[in-house]
Amino acid sequence: MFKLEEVKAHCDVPCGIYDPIVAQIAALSVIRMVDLMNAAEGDGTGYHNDMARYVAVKETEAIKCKEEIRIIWGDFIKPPQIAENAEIHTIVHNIMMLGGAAKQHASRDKAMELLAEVNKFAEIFWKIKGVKTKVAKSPYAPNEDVVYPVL
Amino acid sequence: MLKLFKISGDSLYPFYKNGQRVLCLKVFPKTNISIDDTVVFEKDSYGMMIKKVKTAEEDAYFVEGTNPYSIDSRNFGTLFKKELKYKVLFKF
Repeated sequence: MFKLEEVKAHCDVPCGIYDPIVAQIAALSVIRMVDLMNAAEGDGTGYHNDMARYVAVKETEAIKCKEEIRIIWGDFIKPPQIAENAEIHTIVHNIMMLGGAAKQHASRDKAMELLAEVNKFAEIFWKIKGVKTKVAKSPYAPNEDVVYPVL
Repeated sequence: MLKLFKISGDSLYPFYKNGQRVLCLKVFPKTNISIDDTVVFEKDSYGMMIKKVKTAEEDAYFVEGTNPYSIDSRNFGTLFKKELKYKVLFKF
């Protein structure tokens, strides 16, 4: 007969599904690719094929890491939470810079710095959510420290 | 004066649920808008929105959803009274 006008009780869609673990895994992947690049041997076609794949994955994962952090920072973090976690902007900016460095270079130190900053971000994220965290080695290579929620 | 709306979304859950209807009264300059009133307004690209008034100071109305992921004044700032189109009378 007639259609009611809709009024939006708007949330981000999908509602509330944010998790820094994707960015953390991406940062781990960057480290892993650098390790594989450093361990690669030979100079034949196979070597070049492997190296090209490592570089491509490193590039993709560094971009993914930046993108995931940008989404949480932009869509989830709100002004009252920024007021309580004033360092968040610096951490996010560091992640953007280190993500770029991860693409430009093949430095394990830089990749580790990227993971460290993403872990700091994850710690703040879970604090905002009221979830305790723990630090544990990733149960797969490169077996580096990751901040995990205690659920 | 009176208008019916259908709610789309969960940012005011559990007070208002997706799909519920609300009967609203048009807001005029002299309409009283108080804290905890639920108001309907139009905001940029979001279209017609519904939120609760958290603070009302002079001509600055801070509106919020109950859901932490709500898009509201925490994103787009306070609203002027002239931006408030309707005030919710009741839901059904």
